[in-house]
Amino acid sequence: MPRRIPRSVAAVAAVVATVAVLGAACGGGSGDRDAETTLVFARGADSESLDPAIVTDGESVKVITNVMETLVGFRYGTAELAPGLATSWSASADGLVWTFDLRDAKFHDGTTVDAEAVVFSFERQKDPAHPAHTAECPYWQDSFGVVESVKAVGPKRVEIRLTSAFAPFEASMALFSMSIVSPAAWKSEGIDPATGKYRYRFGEKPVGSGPYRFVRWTRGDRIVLDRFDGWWGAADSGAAGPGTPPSRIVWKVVKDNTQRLLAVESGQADVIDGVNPQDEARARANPSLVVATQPGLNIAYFAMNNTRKPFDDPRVRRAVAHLVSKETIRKAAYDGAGEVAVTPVPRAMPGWIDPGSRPRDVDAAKALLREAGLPDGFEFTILVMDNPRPYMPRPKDVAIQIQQDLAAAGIRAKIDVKQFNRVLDDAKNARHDAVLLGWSADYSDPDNFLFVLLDKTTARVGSANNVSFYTDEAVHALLLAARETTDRAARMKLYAEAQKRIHEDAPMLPLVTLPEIRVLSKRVRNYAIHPAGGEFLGPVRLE
Amino acid sequence: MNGRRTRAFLRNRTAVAGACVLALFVAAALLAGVLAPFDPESRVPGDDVLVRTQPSAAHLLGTDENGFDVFSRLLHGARTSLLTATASILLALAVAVPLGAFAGWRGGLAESAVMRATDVSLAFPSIFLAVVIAAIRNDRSLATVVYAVAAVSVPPLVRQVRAAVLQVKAQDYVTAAVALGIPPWRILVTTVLPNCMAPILVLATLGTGTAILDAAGLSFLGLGPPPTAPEWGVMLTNGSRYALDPSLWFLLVPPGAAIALTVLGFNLFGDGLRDALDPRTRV
Amino acid sequence: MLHALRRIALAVPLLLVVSMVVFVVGELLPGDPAVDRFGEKGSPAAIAEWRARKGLDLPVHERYLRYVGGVVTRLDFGESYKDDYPVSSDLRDRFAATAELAFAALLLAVPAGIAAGTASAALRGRAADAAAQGTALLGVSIPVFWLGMILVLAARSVGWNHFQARFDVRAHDDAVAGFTTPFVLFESVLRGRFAVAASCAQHILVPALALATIPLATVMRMTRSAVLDEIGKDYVRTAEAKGVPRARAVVRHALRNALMPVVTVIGLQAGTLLSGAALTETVFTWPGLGTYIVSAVQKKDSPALVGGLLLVAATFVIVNLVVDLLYGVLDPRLRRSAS
Repeated sequence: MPRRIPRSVAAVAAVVATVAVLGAACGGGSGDRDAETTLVFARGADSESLDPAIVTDGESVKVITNVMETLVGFRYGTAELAPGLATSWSASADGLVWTFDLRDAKFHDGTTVDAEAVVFSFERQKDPAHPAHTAECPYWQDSFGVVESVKAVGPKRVEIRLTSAFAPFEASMALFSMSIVSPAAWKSEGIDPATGKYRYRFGEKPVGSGPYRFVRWTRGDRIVLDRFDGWWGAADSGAAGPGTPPSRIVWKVVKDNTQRLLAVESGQADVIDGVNPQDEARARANPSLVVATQPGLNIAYFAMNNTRKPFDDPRVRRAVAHLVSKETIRKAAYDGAGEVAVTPVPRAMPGWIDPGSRPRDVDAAKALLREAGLPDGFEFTILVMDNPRPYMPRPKDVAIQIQQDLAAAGIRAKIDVKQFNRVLDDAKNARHDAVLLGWSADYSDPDNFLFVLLDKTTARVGSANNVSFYTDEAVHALLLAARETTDRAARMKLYAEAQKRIHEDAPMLPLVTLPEIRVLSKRVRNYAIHPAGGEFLGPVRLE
Repeated sequence: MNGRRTRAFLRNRTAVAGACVLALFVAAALLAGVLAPFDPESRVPGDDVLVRTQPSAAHLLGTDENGFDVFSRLLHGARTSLLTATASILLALAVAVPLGAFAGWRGGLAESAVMRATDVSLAFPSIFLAVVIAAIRNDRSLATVVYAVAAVSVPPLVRQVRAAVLQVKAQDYVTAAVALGIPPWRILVTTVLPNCMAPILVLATLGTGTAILDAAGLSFLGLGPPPTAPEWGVMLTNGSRYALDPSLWFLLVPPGAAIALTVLGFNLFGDGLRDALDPRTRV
Repeated sequence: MLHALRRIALAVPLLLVVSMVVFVVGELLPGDPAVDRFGEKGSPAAIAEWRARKGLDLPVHERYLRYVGGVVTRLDFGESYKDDYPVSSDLRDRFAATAELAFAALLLAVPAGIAAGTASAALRGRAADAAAQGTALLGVSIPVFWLGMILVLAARSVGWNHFQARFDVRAHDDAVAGFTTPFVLFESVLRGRFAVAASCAQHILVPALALATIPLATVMRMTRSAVLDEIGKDYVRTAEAKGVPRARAVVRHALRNALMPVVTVIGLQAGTLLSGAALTETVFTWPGLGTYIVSAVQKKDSPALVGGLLLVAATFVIVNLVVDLLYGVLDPRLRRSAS
């Protein structure tokens, strides 16, 4: 009998075990810094850039809101506007001239936040020839075309002139893209004569005035921010309760939802987002964790292409509305999370109304289809993306539920799963029968949903956001009027009117609004989810 | 296989076990239409949509997150997985055998050209090749999976077919055939290739197992078959969302076990075949 | 020497063809990267400006030549479409992460595979042989992403919580930021930063274990058949006849000579390992080349995809070249026949 061989197997096993045990024994040993005061925020994906003017993705915004600040801010944890870098502001009677007064604040590089910095931050977005205009600024293009000029009228006073009155302007000044950046940082490496732009790669090492300053970025994996001692807001966060502010925040990518929950359970992470709905109960049952939620400002929708047969017929669209059970979609494709949406405006948004609902009613749907001359139903294709979005964790499964629901009236839906870029490209160019998409709020105003998604001016083939291609004149008139009305109650009335009309026409089906959810370790104090996105951690404390 | 080889195979207990497992899954695939109580691509009929219900008499393995019957999807999944894998391997063989045989038989420039081409494709790890092909085709269909997996399987098969042909080519009876003036292509088809069948069969068997794993990997990376298709990789990927809830084991364990067992079956069976056909053949 | 030179001379055109293939692949990816980059909120002006800046309007061959020129002269792999970041910087970090993972997997798999294969050969036909082979085969039959998930859940349940990072970022980020290479594990060992090294070892253990199942089976089977071949040879029989115990005969004589083919197989495993790494990395959020390439495909980030694939292919070619040369060194017969 060979006796040495098993021994050599054992030797290998011993080596493996030794490595493991050694690791276990040495681990947890002395770290390089005080690990206790580091807050780890685990999330599903990395940021794309940290330049507020050019990014559009939520993961970038989360980090940006901690490094840079806007003139108008929010009261912590609410959508209510509050002083930011500006302590006060006012508009002229005609709504065309806005004046902002700045507070005393410093950038992380030690320079002062002054009126020139504000002009720099806005001018560089407005003027493509500006040396700090390194890429097109999508938000500026979408929402700030009304800005005629930005001027410093004093060391701490800025005047903004608009070409026409724009009621949501105040709210839009709180948008992250309007963050004030340090001009000194931009200028620090001079201008590249070849391009005429500053050499400094601001998107990779931003400098702002927020509570945390940028330290380093290990791309695809983590971003490290350290507490900025000179933050003006530290003074009035005495009321923030016990504990100390984290000395450091690490934004760590943990791709899988399940693994992320495990990370916060084991203490590797302090805050996580993107929790599987079915795991929420598990987190709630864990005494060392806290679950924070907040109504979502997003909407997932099923857009029918109103320029294509048979969806050009409102009766067909209403029939579809009678067939699709939003509740089933919520139960199946959202695992019971979220809230059924009745109108294209999220419930937590001002101006939301319930325009009535169409319960699942197969007979009513069949009758409508007969009226429309389609007694045997029809065939069409649902275009759907292959990756989760903040408003739709499992797009494919939403499509499956719609397909199954429609089958009851003989409507045969094919599901075409494509990469997100292809879906957008097809939808913007009206190459679809129907598509599943969604929208997250940029600012807290119904305009951001109704105008963007359903006004006829946003239904331009090639660049449409209104991918239902719904071009109703009456709705257009209502939405324009609302933009120019400053009286809040009157505005909300106009939006209510528009929502009723949209419900009647059913150009698209709003499906589900997904609440924001975070799981925190118990040691995190004074954390609040921001309803309009971002992830501001300035007032957060660690025990 | 002659009697001696059959006996050799049967003596190999693990190989027989592999064959039995495979027989079971082939039976499931063939009889899926009869055995499956529900349509695998529709919600279970009824007024209520049954989402993630526990196993019961009506639903032996419960229902999944879309309200589909898991057991029915598992049975039909055997059909999908075996068909895709077999189709991929057949397609790969259809390309690889002529290429490999041609390269091995002709030698010279033709051989260099073919072998350098396989060198280039072998430089890409298989999953990346498959991912790229699936992305370029950009449609969710089983055909795409078949093409991607077949493409991945071709280069190693070409090499091994060529090696087998080279070995047979050196045999005396081939030399004799050449000396007799029989046309070379006829010697290749009538003498050389039949004598290469044994190693090719072994390769095809082992390759089918790998093909199932590659297809599952594609599904995991989100580049698999159409959304409602009953496919084990898709089921496993979807089920993995519920990994933290042990009561939902029926979404995660059955498809994973089915893949592992089938691939194990192919591997055991292939190993047994190789030992039986030629005890000295190497990997 | 001549042999070595010939092999190296062959590798160069191979890499050139590989680069062409890879570049064409990048071109073939469907979709418009600009649309993906700007998402729901993109405007046509933004997209047009961006396309122009990226030189997407130049003819393909011109872009290829520019690209190859950049790679060869400056190791410049272009900029990502996703965020304009230089691909070469990303590749540097990602390559290190994957290389360490693959290395750790081999470190676990090779000794275990050789030991199990030798034992299996020595005990050919017995229950232990069947059991060893069956286990190895089972390991390679389980989808590696599923195995990864199971391992995580199992490890977590016994209190092993070192996951989803290359080391404990809370404790060691500053130390690692001071490193000169992205090879965190290797460098921390060399620098004698043992706390960091231990943290790295802890974090790499389970991912490497999952990945090790892939080469383990192959190494074991290869060893087994190579040892079996040698056992049948005269010198082993002679040794046994002279009274050398069987075990010693197998290990001292048969195994030593059987190791040569095993070395080759380990080289060939490089490709398979990188393949498995794509799936393993996804499960463990390991920031390596696998996840990088897959996400590049999903984003239609051609520069990232082309750079990633090129690096993977080049690694494969070079590893095999080295193995080939090593083989020549180990086996004098090959050297003689070549010259």
